[in-house]
Amino acid sequence: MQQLFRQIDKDRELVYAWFEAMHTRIDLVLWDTGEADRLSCAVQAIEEETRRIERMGSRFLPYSEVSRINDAAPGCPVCVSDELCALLARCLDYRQRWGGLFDVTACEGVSCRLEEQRLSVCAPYVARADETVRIDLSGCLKGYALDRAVSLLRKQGIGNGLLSFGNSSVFALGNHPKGEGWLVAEADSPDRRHVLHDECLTTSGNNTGSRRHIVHPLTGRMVEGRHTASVVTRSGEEGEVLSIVKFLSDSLSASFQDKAETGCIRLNQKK
Amino acid sequence: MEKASISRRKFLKNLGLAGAGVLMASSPWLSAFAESDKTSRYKVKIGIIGPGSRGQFLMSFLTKNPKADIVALCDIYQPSIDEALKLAPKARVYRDYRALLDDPNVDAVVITTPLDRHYEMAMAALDAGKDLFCEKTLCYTLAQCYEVYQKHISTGRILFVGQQRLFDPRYITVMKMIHDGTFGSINAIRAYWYRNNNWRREAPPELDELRNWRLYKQHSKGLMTELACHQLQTGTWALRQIPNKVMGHGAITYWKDGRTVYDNISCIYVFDSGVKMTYDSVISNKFYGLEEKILGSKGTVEPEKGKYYFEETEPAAAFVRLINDIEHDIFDAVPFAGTSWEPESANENKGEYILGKSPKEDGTSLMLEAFVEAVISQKQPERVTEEAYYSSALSLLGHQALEEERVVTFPDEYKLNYLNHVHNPILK
Repeated sequence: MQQLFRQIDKDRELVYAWFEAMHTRIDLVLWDTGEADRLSCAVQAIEEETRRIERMGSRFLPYSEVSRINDAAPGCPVCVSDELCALLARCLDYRQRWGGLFDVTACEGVSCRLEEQRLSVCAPYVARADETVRIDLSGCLKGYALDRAVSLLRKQGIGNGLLSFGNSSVFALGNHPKGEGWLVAEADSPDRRHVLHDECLTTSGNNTGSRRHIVHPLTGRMVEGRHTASVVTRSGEEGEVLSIVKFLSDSLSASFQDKAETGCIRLNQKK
Repeated sequence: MEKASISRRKFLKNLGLAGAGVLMASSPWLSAFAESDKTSRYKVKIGIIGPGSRGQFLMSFLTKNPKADIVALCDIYQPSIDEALKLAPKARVYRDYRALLDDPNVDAVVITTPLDRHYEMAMAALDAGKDLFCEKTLCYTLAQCYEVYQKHISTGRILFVGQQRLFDPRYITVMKMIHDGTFGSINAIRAYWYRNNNWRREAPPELDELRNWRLYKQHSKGLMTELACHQLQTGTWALRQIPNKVMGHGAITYWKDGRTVYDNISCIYVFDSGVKMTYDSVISNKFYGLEEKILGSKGTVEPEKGKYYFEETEPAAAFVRLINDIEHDIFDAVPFAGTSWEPESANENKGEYILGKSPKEDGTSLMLEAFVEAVISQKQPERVTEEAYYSSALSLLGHQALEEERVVTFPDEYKLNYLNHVHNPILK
């Protein structure tokens, strides 16, 4: 991790820290009153927590808990952490709630019917139903790690920051040092700006016509075409789920290929 | 969108606000500005000894400072006096610097004469009770530098030497980053200054030595004292260490025009840890210009260019812009949100500007303001003279290494109580 420090004024310090994890880059800007060491400790804690979550949930790391499940024989229960069990249980709930559009067992070439039970979760055990099941938490792990990072900051009493996990999951905590909330614009459409305050902006989709990386669980096909979908939510995990659901819902529309973005929807109605 | 520049006023404002805990740790001489809000009713009366091209350059800043008044000029070269009077028309003119020093109306003097004249003038100025700004290199020999430093201590007069990088916002900001460990462990510094000109001024034969004093050994030590002196100081500032050994070679390889100073030099300075700082200068090729490349285990700094680079993952351009906006009191959107970033989309490492943009000025103006503030407050800023003393010492020792073609060790008798050096009063 690398860090840059800046003094905002006589009372306030700022740190910008960045590192690569989860096959993407993490950028953190935090500010607070008091010593810079406190901010430095906070970003280091976030990095450690992010790497811990990656070791738990990445399918690309051969010794992760998820890899142990994926490598085990179908039907054979694998003992994993309560934390992973809880995350997988929530993923199964999301699958049911969104008609199968969010499915961490989605795999190219395999159509996953909603009524099909592909994963069994009974803490502390998880088992795959058959050989076609491969857990891939890419659709929610960054959001989950982002929520954990925000939680760490709040516990440490740091109430302001902008946290980007791969640019696709961006949490704005508290306020910019010079304004209320944080202003975030989209890289591909800088005129599209979002004012975020204790909210997460999540974007899913294909930013170019040639990029294809999201499998439609119900068809088993990679979704093609330049198109993105964004949502603003209270949590990173929820944002990742809903942006994928929105992207896949859009993909069923006839205008999908003609309309690069559908606009952002706010799902976090403020009281 | 509003675009703000880091103006001197803004920089000073930041210093005033942030000074105590942040930049001061890396650049303690910024304490010179601690009372600048309270000194507006004072005016320092300054005499300029040797207002040639460099002297006039410094005058151009002093004449803009409402706390400074140039009241006296001294030179034996009338065209310099004529030009200087255009900047300070009310100044009294002297032919003999001792007469200027006797002028009770002069509070402080600026010496911008040929190097070999610095010693006698600086000693006389301090003895006369004047505060002193002396252009670098402080003196022609290390022994003279040491005597002037001790005279500054014994008289209690303010002493500044023209090391403007000490007041350059780029250097101040990036030294803080270096000392914070942002670029990891610094293991090498590669400093150089390349020009492509003969460094010669037009002059009739009888005035050649006077006008072109930089080219003759009896007046100057050439590239080491006129150029390297500025850049060697970057190494001690970054590493907070004085190198104790230097070796090198010098030659005249191109400008064989009667000059007696080298036009082609290379030195290696060795710190006790084994870290090295190299210095090269040639004046027959200018392609690479000047720089002090500071090489850390996590990144590289090019302070002259005003940029830094990280070894691995670069900072995100949008986030760098965000923190620059914050520094400039701008609340604006930064465009980065979108689909997930992938490593293969990383681009060529173009680095980042230390101050968010290409540098436009060095620290000369701030350095002179600091001198004026120090004269008014009669408080010598911490470490500013010691940094300058060692810049001069290192350039002179480097020159000695070139001349003698041997490894020169820093003489114990000229060490101050500074950084890794300990002064031994028995030796001097």
